[in-house]
Parts: sequence; C-alpha cells; structure tokens
Amino acid sequence: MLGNYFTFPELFLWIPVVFGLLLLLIKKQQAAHLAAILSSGISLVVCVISFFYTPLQGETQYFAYNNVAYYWLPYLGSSFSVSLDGISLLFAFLISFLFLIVFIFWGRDDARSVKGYYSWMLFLQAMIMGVLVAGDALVFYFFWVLMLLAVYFLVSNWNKGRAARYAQKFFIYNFVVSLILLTGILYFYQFTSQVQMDSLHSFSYSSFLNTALTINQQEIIFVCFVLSFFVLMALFPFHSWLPGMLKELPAGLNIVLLAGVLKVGLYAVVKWILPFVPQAVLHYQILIGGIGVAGMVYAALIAFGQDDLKKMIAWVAVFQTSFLVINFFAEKNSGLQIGMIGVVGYTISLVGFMMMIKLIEKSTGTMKLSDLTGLAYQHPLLGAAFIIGLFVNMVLPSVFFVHPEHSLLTGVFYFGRWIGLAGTLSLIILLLLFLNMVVVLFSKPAGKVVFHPVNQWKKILLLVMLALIIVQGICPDWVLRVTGFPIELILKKMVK
Amino acid sequence: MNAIIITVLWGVILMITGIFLRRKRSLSLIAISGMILTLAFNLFEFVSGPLLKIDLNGFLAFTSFGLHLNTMIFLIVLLFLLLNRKQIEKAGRHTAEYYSLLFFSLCGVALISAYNSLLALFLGIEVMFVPLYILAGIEAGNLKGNEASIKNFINGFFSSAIFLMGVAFLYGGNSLGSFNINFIQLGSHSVDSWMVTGMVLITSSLAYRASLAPFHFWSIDVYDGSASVFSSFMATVVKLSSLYAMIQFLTVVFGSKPEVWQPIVAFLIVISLVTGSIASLFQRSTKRMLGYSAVSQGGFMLLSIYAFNGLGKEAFLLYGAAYCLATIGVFGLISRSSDYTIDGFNGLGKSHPRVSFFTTISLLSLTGIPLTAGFMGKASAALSAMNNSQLWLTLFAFICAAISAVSYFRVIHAIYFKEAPEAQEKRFDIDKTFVWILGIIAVLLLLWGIAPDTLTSWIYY
Repeated sequence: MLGNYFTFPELFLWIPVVFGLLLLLIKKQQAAHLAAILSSGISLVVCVISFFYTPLQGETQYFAYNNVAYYWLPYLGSSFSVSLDGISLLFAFLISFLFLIVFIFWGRDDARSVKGYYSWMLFLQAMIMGVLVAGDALVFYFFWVLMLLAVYFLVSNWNKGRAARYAQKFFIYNFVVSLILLTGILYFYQFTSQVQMDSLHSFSYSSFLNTALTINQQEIIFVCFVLSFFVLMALFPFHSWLPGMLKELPAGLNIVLLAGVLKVGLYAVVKWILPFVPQAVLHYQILIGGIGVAGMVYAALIAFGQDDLKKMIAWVAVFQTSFLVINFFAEKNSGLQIGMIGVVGYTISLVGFMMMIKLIEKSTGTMKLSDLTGLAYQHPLLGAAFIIGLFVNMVLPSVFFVHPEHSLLTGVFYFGRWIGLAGTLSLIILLLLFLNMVVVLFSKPAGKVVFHPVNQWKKILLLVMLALIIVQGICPDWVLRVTGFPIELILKKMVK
Repeated sequence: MNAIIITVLWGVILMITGIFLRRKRSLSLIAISGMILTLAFNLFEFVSGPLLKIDLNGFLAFTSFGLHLNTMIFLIVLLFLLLNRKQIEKAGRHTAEYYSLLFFSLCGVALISAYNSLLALFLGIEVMFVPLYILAGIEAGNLKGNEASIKNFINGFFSSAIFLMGVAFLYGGNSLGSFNINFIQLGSHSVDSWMVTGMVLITSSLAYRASLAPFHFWSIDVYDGSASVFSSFMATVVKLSSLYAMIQFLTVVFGSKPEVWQPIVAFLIVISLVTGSIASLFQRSTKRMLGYSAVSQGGFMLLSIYAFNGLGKEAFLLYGAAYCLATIGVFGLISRSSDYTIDGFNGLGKSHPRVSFFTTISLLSLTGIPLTAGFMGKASAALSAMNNSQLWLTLFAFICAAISAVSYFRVIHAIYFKEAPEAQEKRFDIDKTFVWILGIIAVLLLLWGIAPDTLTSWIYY
C-alpha cells in the first residue's frame, strides 16, 4: 500500500486535514479534545515509522514511500509534488510532537475560549506540514500563505478584541512579504529549465536546485526570500508583529507560534535559501550576522526586563531563533549540523519549560517571578524542573552536552569578532537573568502566594519531558544521522 | 454574432412584454431564460459557428478569445441575475425596462468582444454605456443616484468625444485611411506623431471606461450613488469589456510597436494600483471601498495587457473571471444589507454562517489567497509580466495588492470578529436562492483556483 496508494508526506498532510474536518462535526468538547490528541498522536506515530523508511543516506529503495507528484498546472510547469528528506522529517517530527503536547497540556483550557479551536489547530498543523514537505515552489507558497491564514483565524478567534487586531497585523505583515516571496519565486522560475513537456520552465524543487544563477539574480532572489522568512521568524527589526501577540495569546497558542510557526521560517532558510543562492548568502553574510546578533541582544534585553514568566520565555524563544539563524548562515558544516541539534533542543526545552510554567500557574495562580520566591522549598520537584528548564533554555543544551567545538557560539564567531562578542554579551545577559531566577527560587519564601498541590499525571508528564530534554542533551547524535545526508548535499551546493 | 442578435432580440422582447406583463417575478424569469439562451447560442457559435452568415466586410471578427470572453461574461451575468433578481425587482416600478437595458448593454459587450474596426468599437462602447446612464439613476427619489447618473452621463460623453478625436487622429495619420484595426499602418520606422496622439486619446478614453486611475473619479461616486445591483454590473462586466477593448486596440493596432504604448500602460498600472489600494484603506462604505479596489484590481489586470503574450491572455481571462465573480458576490451581499458601511457587516458570521463563509471566499479571492481563482489570476498576470522582464513592475503590483488586502480583511474582521449591534431589526434580507448562488460563486472561485485550465484552455479551442 505504502508507496502505491499513499506516501509518508501525504499522510503528514492529510491526517490533520481529515481530523480537522471531522472535528467540525463534533460538538462535545471532550470528544473533540480526544480526537485532536488522537490525530496528532497518529501523526507522531507515522513520523516515527517514517524514520525507518526515509532515505536518510540517500537510499533509493525508499523513494516511492517519500516522493509523489500529482498532475497540476502542467502549462506552468508545476505539479502537486510532496517529498520527504531528513530535514523535512526532523521538522515534521517536531511539529507533530509539539501539537500532541499542546493538545494534551493546553488544549482543554484554550478550547474553552477559542471557537473551532481543535479544527483550526489541526488545519494549521496540516499547513505547516505542507510547507515542510512541499516539493514544488508553488505548492510551497500555497501552504505558506494558508499557514498564515490559519494562524490569523486561530488567533483572531481567541479574543475578538485586541488579539484579532494583532492577528490582522501578523497576517498583513507576513502577507506583504509573502507576495515579495512570490515575486522571487516567479523570477527564479524564469531561469529554470524544462521538466514537463507543456512548459518551458518548472517550479519543481529539483529544478530550482539545478538552476545556475548569476550573482545579480541570486541577490534578487535572496532578498525576496529572506525578507519573507525573516518576518515570519520575527527577527529584529522585522519583529513588530510579535510583542502584541505574545501579550494577548494564551500559553498554548503562544507555544505553537514560537516553537512551531517560527521554526518553519528556519526550515525555509535551510531548504529554500541556502542551496539555491549560495553566492548571495556569502555576499550578505555579514548583514545577516548583524541582523541575527541584533535580534539576540534585543530579545535578551527584553527577556531580562520581564517579570511575567510566559513573556520572558517567549522572548527567550525569539533569542533562540536568532541564534539558530546565525548558525544556519555560518557557511560551514558544524554551523548547520549544530543548528539542527539546536532546533530539536530548543523546541523540546521550550515546550518543557512552558509545561512547567503552566503547572506553576495552576499551583500558585501567578506567573510573576517576583511572587515565586522560595518555590524550591515549597515544591522541590517544580523547583528542580525549573532549574533544568532554565538551564537548557538559557545556556543551550549543545553548549554543555556536546563537544565544545560544536557549539552554537562558534557559529556566531564565524561572522567576525564584533558580532561574536555581541552574541556572547547577549548570552551573558540571559545567564544573569538565569542567576537572578535561581536566587529568587532559593530565597526565603515571602509567603506572597499559596502553593496548591499539582495534578499527578501532569507532574509525571513534566518529568518525562525533562528526561527527554536531558537525554536529548546527552545523545543528540540521532539528529545528525537524520539530517546529515541532506545537509551534506546543501553544503556541497554551497561550496560549489 | 449569435450573442449580438439574441441580446438585442431579448431586450426588445422584454420591453414589449413589460407592457402586458406586470408580474415582476415573471419578467425576471424571462430575463434569466434570455440569459441562458444567450449563453447557449454563444457556446453554439463557439463550437459550430454563427447562426446567420452575414458578410460584415471586416467590421466585426469573431475570435475564440472574444467568444470565450463572451461566454465567461454571460455566465457571470447569469449568476448576477440569479443572485440579484429580488433586488432588481425592488429597484423600481419598471422592471422590464431595467432588464431590457441590461440586455442592450450586453449587446454592446458582445460588439466590443468582436470589434475589428474602430467604428465598431465606438458603437459597442456607446451601446454598452448608454443604458448604464439610465440604470445609474433609476431611483427617482435618490439624490445620490441622480447625481451618479448625471455624472456618468456627462463624463461618459466627454470620454466619447475624446475617443472620436483619437479615431480622427488615427484615421488622418494612417496612409491607408482605414478604420479597420488590421489595416492601420504604423510605418516601418518611428511612429507618426498623429498616430501616437490618437493612441493616447483612445487609450485614455478606454481607461476612463475601465475606471483606471487617473480617470477613475467618476466611478467611485457612480458606484456609491447607484443601486448596488447596477454598481456591481458596472464594476465588473463593463470594466472587463473596456479592458478587453484596450487589449485588442493596443496589441493589434500597435502590436508591432509595443515600445510606444507600454510606458503609457505602465503609468496606468502604477497610478491605478497606488490610488486604488491606498484610497480603499480609508473608506468606511463598502461600496466605495470596492470602487477603489476595482481601480486597483484593474491596474493588476493591466499587467497582463502589458505582457502582450499568450500567458497574458490566459491571465486576463482568469483574473477577469475571478474579479467579476468575487465582486458580484460581495456586491450582492451589500445590496441585501441595510447598512453599507463596513461596520454593517459586524457579527454576520454568527447570524448567517454560510453567507459569511461564501463571502469570505470571495474576499479572499480578491485578496489573492492561494486556492482561489484570484490567486491564480494574480500569479498568472505577474508571471506573464515577468516573462516580459518586468520584475520591478511585478513587485510593485504585488506590494500594492498586499496593501489592498488590508481593506478586504477589515470586512472579514467585521464579519467574524466583531459583535453585531444590539438592535434586533433585520439587517440582511437573505433568502435560500441567494445563499445557493453565493455558494456556486464560491465553488467556481475555488475550482478555478485549483484547476484554472478548466477556464483558460478554451482560448485555444
């Protein structure tokens, strides 16, 4: 059946769509909640199975399981093509994992306030998956914009007042640059060679990959693509849509945005910029390094000024995104590979930390750091988890657990001394924040808040999550095994 | 040819029937069946040739592109009639006359789609426009409507005069002295200044008819003042026909010298896009907002004219169909609303979920969101311009399209994310047929968004 009737990328795409449509018919909240968990659970299982059938080392026997193209717009040289390689698979796995955790941990609370929450969430998951598996530039663009639209409707539904306005801002900003992205795609298309009989050019990924461009053409395409991806990732100075959303949104949607949607931008940088326009990447490297490090410093400073844990961790996530972008653009093997490890590490640590914040909020009714003095005495488990969470979020798993030369920080120094120093400075700011929090947690309880016991199974889930974070920190090699081959191909293309 | 005959015939039949038949619903049924007949006969001509073989001496020429455009327009008008039947009946006492005027106007559309001589074009434009001067002001007590009618009439005749002046220049500068667009000689070297003047005058006149900036001022007030049903007819069918006239004129008469007209078209594109997209942001009335957005959409459609290639023709048809269907859908809802402001749509999502959903698809299509025909139209127009090495013009057009998106999303925002006012009076007069037709429009927009070749491949029939 697999390979003949359906492929893995199609399953990634259609499982959430089908469940999303079914959920439109389910009125009972509890049943909808279970169905949503079931959907993302199935997606995750399919992802895990696909690890064994994806050509991680370029094996040809799995080709039919992971690639399919349907007849669509032949006169334009486009087809509905989806495919899976190691990088797509890694991101798809993270997204499935993220949605499952969000449904389990935040779903019930968020669904009370958002009409059609589960359906919209599953549609969003499907659209993100579409972006991740797209094997054709038009298909990629389709899913890209539909993803933005899904975020717009999801966020607008949350709080029909201010959140809807911020959602509109998010959509318009991203839509403007997405049309610039489309211009870039159409421009690129002009130089591709013929793949189908009906058209002189092609939108297929492979055709884009094999097109030789002059430096001027590369620069135009680079600017068009990078603008769109950077705005989605809310990199400084393209971040103005983000603060309002962070302020208004509930934790579940926040985490989907920060650990899911923003990561799609990272994926797009790796798959849709680096191999296509290597010379332009080289040309604009310092600029990108500057933007990335400015984002790091900015996010670190804002995070430092936050008393609200949710907002603080959100800004830390923005910091992490900038940090990863810098590493992706550092044109060397370790930058991309360590970046991939960083993506996994940051995503699960972010999810873990948000879970903990949720438990703290449930237990104390507050998310303000200043109210949590003495948490380590009152709730040793939460205190310990908090510290581990901080550790991995602030200090980065890769810095400590992986071989030192494979550190994300070396990626920052690739762009020169000053950028490296600024990056280090931002990291120090976050470390100071971390120290301050440790001091608060271990201070004498001020008795400002009453600590209530926490739901047992949620505690267990948190422990599992923490264990995962630690295991990932100690054994990150699987990420390299999954993404190694496609990264090598990208690097070869860049070196060429 | 069939369409010209049937539309005139049906216009006359409706006029005469109006004397004997007082029941408005029956008149509507006659008009709708007339439209189906026109569509069927046009399709018949597409497949088997005209009913009557008349030697027109090169006055008209029936091409597959023109016939395809006709078919598309007639289909859109059929949906327009089905959607707005009730509102046309309510517009005034003389329902039969309104329908017959619409049919006469469609005769003009059919003439334009087949013109081969500048005189046929002039005739077509006048036949298309004169009924609209009347339809704009049919609401006797409505001062805004009367103003719209007078404005339309006076400006329209100015435009006709400019057009005729242009024709005179072309005739005078042309060594063959012919009105036939295939026999207008441009010479082998630089184009004569008389010809250039004629081209500028005719293009300006057609730009006025298509309400492209900077000749758009009349249209906003006319759309706003006229009854919404007729505004939607003017903003769609008339605009599309006028743009087609411009395509034919520029690409046939001046086809060998694109460098002469392309800067003028580029100017029209830029001004229309900027004016339409920015001005639409500041409108509170949905009618005026759609009026400005029509200016901006017209600018985008011109991109396909600018490109002057095969893909440009496909893009024009696709864009035209997407724009007309979506605009008719949204105007249809406006005509059923008691409040034309954007706030008038507040809470519609809750009270009429299906209508809201279908209208949202129309608005998303106007924005150019993927999976809708509007996206494919925009992408094809951009691609055809890009084939012509117009990267910056395309980029500019896309940025303006994104600015326009703000206006459309204001309406979507009002529909879904704002609460309806407390007052309980009926704000929307919506019946089942209306919902069905709106649904068909949404399905067509999605169908042509996913499989655009089901529409465009007919050009090559």
